[in-house]
Amino acid sequence: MNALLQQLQNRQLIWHANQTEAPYEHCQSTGFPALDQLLGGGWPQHNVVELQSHGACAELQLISKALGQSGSDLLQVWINPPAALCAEYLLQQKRPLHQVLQLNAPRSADALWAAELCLKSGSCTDVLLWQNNLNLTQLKRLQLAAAQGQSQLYFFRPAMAEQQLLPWALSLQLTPVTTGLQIRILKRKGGWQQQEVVLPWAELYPQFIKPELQQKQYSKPPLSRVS
Amino acid sequence: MSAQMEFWLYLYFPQLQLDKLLVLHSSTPATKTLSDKGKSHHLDLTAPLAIVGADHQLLQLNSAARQAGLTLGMGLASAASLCHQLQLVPHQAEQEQQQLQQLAQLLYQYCADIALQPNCGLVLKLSPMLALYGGAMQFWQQLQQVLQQTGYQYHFATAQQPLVARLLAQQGWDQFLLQNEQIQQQLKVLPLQQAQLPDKLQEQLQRLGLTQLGDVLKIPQAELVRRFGAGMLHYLQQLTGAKPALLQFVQPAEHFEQQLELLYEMERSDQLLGPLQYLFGLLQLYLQQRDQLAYQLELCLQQRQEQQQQLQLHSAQGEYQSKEWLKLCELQMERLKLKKPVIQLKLILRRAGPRYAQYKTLFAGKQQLYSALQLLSLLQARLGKDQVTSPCLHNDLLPEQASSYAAALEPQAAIAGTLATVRPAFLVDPPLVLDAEQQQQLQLYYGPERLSSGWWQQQSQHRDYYVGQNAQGQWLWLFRDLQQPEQLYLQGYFS
Repeated sequence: MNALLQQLQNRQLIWHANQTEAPYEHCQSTGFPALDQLLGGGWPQHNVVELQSHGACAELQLISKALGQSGSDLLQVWINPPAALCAEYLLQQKRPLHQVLQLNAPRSADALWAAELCLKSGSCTDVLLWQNNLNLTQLKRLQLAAAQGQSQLYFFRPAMAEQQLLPWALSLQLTPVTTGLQIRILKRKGGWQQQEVVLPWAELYPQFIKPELQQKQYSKPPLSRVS
Repeated sequence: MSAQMEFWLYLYFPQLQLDKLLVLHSSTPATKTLSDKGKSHHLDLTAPLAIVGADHQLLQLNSAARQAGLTLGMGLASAASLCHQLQLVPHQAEQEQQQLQQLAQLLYQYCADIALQPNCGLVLKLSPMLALYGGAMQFWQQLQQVLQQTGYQYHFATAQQPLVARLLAQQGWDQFLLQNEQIQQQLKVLPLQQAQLPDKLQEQLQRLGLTQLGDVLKIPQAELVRRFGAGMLHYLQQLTGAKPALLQFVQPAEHFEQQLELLYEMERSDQLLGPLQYLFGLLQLYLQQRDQLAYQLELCLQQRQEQQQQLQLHSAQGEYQSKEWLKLCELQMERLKLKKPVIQLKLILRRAGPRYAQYKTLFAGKQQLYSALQLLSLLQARLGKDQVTSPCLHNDLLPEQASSYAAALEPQAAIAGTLATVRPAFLVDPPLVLDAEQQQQLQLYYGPERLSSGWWQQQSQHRDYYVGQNAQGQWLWLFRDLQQPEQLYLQGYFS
């Protein structure tokens, strides 16, 4: 029996509950207690986080607190955002505009190169990248670069059918539902999969959704005439 | 060695052109391609090779040619009969002059007074430099080291008068002495043929039976001048230092512009990196000597059929090191398509500034590989300058006018006023028209917020803004123009 166990162990076929991969060392709070609890503390730091969504469903709102907490004397880089950035929004987030860089890289190789360079440069805190595909080697390179430059990459990807399973530190799928945003963990280093939480819209967009107002939704805008 | 006395060092470079060929060919394979246009690239430098002057005399010989029995000054016909596989390269006086100029610039770092001399010579005023270096030998060692690095052959001599130093150096005396007696003794035994007297004078003196310079110097000066005229007086004054020599000292170049002719036509841009490294090396030296940083360079690629392509290289932070510039250049080269093969490179410094110490945060705890400005330069070099921008805010009421893009990382003037609370992350410009079906599916949550552009503007607009969610659950920023209140427009996405 022992010999057999030994043999199996040598071939690394036995899973030890006490040797699970340690979850990430440092976490940064997301600002949403429910989400923090789901993620075991918050966003993993100096790593790559994937956010899958159809867009325009509060995905930036989720990370806005983390972005706000990183030092404002370093750069924030947006690579291939889906539309033009609104300067007033950035100022609302207390981000000096000259510390924000937007890169347009039509070729995905250029975009990945730029992301890696920015991550490892040490003069950026956060890099936001919109891209469709990524393979294992590319992910590993980005993770190494993020660790080297102590910076964070948020990888935004359109929600599609299950893709190749990549060793993300954290991968979330965001789906809007009527009550709020459904957040499902696709992959989390050192954690259990298939957990989800729904963040109510009022918590995500407190500036324009007041809970008491949510009762009386109106579908047609009240018409007003030019006097 | 007294401090009051002037001492001069003369450096004579007998074979600048040949040495340059040898240096370039012996260095890395990449720089092997550097040489003069027109010369075929299959020159074999181990086989006999000679540089030939315009009058068909051999001016410079490599060691193989010397072994074959050739001597300097030999005519082409006799040389060819002695060694029929002799390779010939035409002498290029202009190029040698350029090299000499470069050498002078190089030595300028070590010696303040340098003058170019005809016939590949440099004369350096030693006496003011000795105090700085704490002795003649230290100074000389420093110079020797620099000269050795260039790879050029040279002869040298010192004397109290530039002319004496020249005579001895060209004779190949190669002594660094600051004892006048020994120098004078050597001068006395100098054959008259090498005294560089005007031809007529030399002939006259030889007819008198004088063979060495010492014989001439024994005769009282007044006698000589009376017999041989003003030419002799001028010569003697230079020889004895009675009249100070008229020299024009080298000034450091104020403008960096170097060109390099390629040995053969290069068709691929990555081939150019080797020669470019050489040019950037010269640039680095130039910048180091002036304690400057270069911000903008222009690289001209001269091509066949009088065509040329130009590259603008920028560095936001300013660099002086050749390897940094090479990295930036490499990124641009990757995108560059050569229209025609390149035959010549030219590098011009367009903008430079003084070098300041760069301050970095001590306690931020971040290891910086590149500073923000260095990063910007790298990104701009690969992606193109207009693909790297920073957002900026204009003082305007309409959102699509207020947000735009400006040059990257440049601080912008603050705009007074309070910030609106509801603004989306992304803007759609120009606003999209929503059709009836899309409007039907919308759920509006917030609004209206009225924005009116100024009445002083051509087309003043009045808009009511709403926040809505569409059927896919996306959060949109919408507006209605009050002039056509039935129509909704999409202005932005909340994200």
